[in-house]
Amino acid sequence: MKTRPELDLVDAPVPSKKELDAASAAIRALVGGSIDRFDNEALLALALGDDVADEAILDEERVDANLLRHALDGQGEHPLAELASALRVATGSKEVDELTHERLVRRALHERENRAAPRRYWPIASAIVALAAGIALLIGNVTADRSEREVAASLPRLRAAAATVALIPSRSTESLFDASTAFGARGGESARVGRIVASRASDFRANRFARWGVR
Amino acid sequence: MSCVVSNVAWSPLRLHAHARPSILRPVTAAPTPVAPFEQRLDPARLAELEAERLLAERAKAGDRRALAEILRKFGPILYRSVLLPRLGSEAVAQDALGDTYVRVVEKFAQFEWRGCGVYPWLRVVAMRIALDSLRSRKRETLFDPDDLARAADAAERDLDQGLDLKLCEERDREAAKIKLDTALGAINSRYALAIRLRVLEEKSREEAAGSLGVTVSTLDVVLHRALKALKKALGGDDSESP
Repeated sequence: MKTRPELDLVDAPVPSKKELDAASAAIRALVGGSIDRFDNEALLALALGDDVADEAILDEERVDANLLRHALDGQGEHPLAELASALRVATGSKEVDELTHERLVRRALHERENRAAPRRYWPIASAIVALAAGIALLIGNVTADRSEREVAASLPRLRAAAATVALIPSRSTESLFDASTAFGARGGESARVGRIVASRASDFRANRFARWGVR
Repeated sequence: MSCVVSNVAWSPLRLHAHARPSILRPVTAAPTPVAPFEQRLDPARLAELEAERLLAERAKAGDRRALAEILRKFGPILYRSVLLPRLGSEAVAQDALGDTYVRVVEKFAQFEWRGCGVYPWLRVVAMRIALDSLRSRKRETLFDPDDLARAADAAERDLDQGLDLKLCEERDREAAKIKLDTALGAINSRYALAIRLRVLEEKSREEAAGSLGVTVSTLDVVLHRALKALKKALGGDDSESP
């Protein structure tokens, strides 16, 4: 069974928009609360006769205006803030920082030096390098000729000596390791190679000294 | 060569109204007999110019110290009067000043003494560098490349006429002021006031809002609209900014 207020609602005609707005206003007046900030701004602007109130302020515009404000305060960037900055410096009399200025002067002067130096000294440097290369070639040829002659002269003697000297022959590296122990699946490669190199280097030196007849 | 040291015949306002290419060109009013340059200068300035001539000769002969002295003396004026107002950014203006110095060091052997000092010659170099800089990178500035091209041509004419340093500097400052005033005059007076208060006079938001009789958040919107309108008045495309 329906209560009396519910029956009243069922029987009552549908309220018009005007009535609903009035009811909302009455509720707001009774309950309290704050007006929307943007609505308040619009009402203020209207009351103060500001031209902004002539047309509705779009939310995007408000957001962009806020971005501009932050950019003007040095937080973030905005194309219009760049323009504002340009206006500010165009009419101001801001001086260049002294240290920056000195750096620019020095850079310009040194840049010239750096550019001029290669141009000025390049022919001289080229001539010196060419001369040195010529001398080195000449000395190199002379030395090479002499070395070749000396080697050719000593070759029969060396061959004879080599023939009479017993050299250590090439052989397997098996003897360097314990045949009963298998290599590990991983690791130990460097140590094994190191042992082979040390052994064979010793053989190589011994053979060379033997060939030269010093052993 | 004689130098122009008087600003009597020059009217940037009149020239600007016509927006002729020669924005900085002096108005040739009724020809008035002009006394020789040296006679119109005070002895102190004459002595200064003579010292400058000697310095320039040394620099031309390859004396790096003399050249550095010239750059140290006139560089800050170029930055303040020519580069910064036209390029609108300290960083860009400093780069342009550095490029100007490099160009001056390269070309100083071609400098010819014209009786009025080195500054007008340096000014032409700086104008050309600023023009290149502005063309190479699109920026939000008070001047556009066309303005700068005209200013560079005018600076060359000033050099031919032998304009004195002070007058060159005065013209450059005046050109920036006129450009700004003209642009502000082309937008809503309330917008112009918002820009003057908040941007040029750097008033706080509260102060500016108080002067305009609006709340601070409305001021933000007004300023936003004002700068958009100014950008449009300066001939910029405002499509980037919503």
